[in-house]
Amino acid sequence: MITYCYAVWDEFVNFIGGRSGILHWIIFCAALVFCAFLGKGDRKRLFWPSVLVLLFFFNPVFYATIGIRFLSGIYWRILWMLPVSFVIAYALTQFTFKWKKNVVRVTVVVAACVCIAVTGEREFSKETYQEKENAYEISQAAIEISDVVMGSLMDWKENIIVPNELLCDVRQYSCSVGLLYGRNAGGFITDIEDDERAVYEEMSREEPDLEIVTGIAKNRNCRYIVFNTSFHRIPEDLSGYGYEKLTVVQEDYAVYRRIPE
Amino acid sequence: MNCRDILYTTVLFVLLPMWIGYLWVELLKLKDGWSRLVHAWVMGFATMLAVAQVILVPLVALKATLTLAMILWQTALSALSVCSFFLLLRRLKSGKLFGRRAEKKKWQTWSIVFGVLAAVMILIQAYIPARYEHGDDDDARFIAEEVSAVVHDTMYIDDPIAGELMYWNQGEVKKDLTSPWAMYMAMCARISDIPPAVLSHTYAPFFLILLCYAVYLLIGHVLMRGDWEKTFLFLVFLSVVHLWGYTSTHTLASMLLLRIWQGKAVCASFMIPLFFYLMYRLMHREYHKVWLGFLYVAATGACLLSGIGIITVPVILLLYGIVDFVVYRDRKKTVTILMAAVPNAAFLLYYLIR
Repeated sequence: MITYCYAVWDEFVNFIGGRSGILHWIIFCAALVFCAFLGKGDRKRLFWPSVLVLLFFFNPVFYATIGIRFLSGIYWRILWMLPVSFVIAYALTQFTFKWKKNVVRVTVVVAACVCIAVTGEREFSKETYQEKENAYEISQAAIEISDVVMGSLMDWKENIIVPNELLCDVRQYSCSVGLLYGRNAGGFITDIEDDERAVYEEMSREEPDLEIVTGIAKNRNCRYIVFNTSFHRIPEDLSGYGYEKLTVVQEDYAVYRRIPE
Repeated sequence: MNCRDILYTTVLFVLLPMWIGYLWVELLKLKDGWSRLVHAWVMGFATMLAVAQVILVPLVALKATLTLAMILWQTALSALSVCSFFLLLRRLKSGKLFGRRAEKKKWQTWSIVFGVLAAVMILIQAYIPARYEHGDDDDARFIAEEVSAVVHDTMYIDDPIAGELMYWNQGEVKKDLTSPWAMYMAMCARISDIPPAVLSHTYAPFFLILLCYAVYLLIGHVLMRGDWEKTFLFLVFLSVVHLWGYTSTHTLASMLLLRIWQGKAVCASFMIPLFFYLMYRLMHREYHKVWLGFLYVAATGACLLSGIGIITVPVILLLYGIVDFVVYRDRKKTVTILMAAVPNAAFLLYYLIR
């Protein structure tokens, strides 16, 4: 049972974002207690449902029976049922209107906003949003590589190997380009096979073992391999491995195509 | 962005939901003009989700084409639209098209200040995700599924990584069988002829964030008992909490402002708050029975968005149902509230036995 308690706590910490989120949670808890004293209506709409959600979430028996079985890895999503932002906003609004003078009200509003801002993290920043490269909002290199592959399709789709930073982008643009491995390399969507894992590990190195990469690529019918030359240190000529350089996109991405036998 | 695409997405995400939601507004006999408009938008969108869920799940299981799903969905929406049209005609004859105008009262200065401030902050939140780029690795699955559906006219029959056939019921993709939000977006992409990645990343966030704030406006208005000054200040505080809520990528604020185009984010930011609102409406001794009926529709719509929608909605109904029963002791109402979880239970069962 102690193990489950720790596991639930880890899920909670994961949800709030550790120390960076603790202050917003303290504000939420204070707001919830404030709501409990506002009146019967607020207790039944905000306080008691929130308390029940917290009891549900921090219940190791619920975690052991339902959480592990149906919500493995995403148990923290139970906390979406907790009206955190609504309770904070509601309590602050009611608190503001407890004061009669407008000057005091404005001061309270400004102070509350500053308090939330200082204790939180900005949602819009250079870390979260960048200038668009294109309307698709995916890497321009992924689009240009896909266009190169689609320009000479030999079948209804081609399988290709791309550098790790493009794994999530290519299929958002075109379904004519299949990947030997994609997000499954990170443990998502589906299991990755041994040979795919081997290629992924090589492509994660600065100096990939081209024998392994091209060998598996040929076995798995991958006609195209893309290297990021700003990261991968590979020889210009791969004809000895059965691949020829087709083009370079976005200055860094060298597209190699299998030489017909 | 171009005018054609903006026009199509406005119809798909605003005008059509409003038109369909007009049915609910009439059934609820809502009076105020603004209230009719906002309720129509929110309830119409939830109805569109529910209709799509009922159509998509069996068709995905039958490995039908996206075209067939679209035809059935459009037919159902057309039928609802025709019903709305006749109700509108009836209302035109009675001369009360826009409902009761808000009582003539002088808006107080602070109501205007908070209202303008809230509107500006909400518009900024809607604009930035549409204008700038935020990459999320989960799109490797969702948008890849949409692209494949639009191009191949299939639904979940090839895997989102290699594009190999007969993959639809494996791994994480199996979850999408009972929560086909990606096919909903694929249908929107096909109708509007906008590439799924462009629709999801550029157009949908703007409308979906505004839609979420429409729900928050309703929540604020009901919590503040119709006081506009307090409601607008509530929205200001809510915006500030969201704008500075990036303490982790899992918070409601992060779901709303970083990846609202994904089903689970719509569930967290739109559907779960909508259930809060519905429960606030129902938690009275006197309530309109139509809210109970809509609860069933919204519960079905929640299933479309994500597996977490299938699970959280019954829990919300249970928790708020318990509180409501303790306060009002209305056994019939409590049972009716709890029964709204039946669609979720059915889809969960279907997922488990597949």
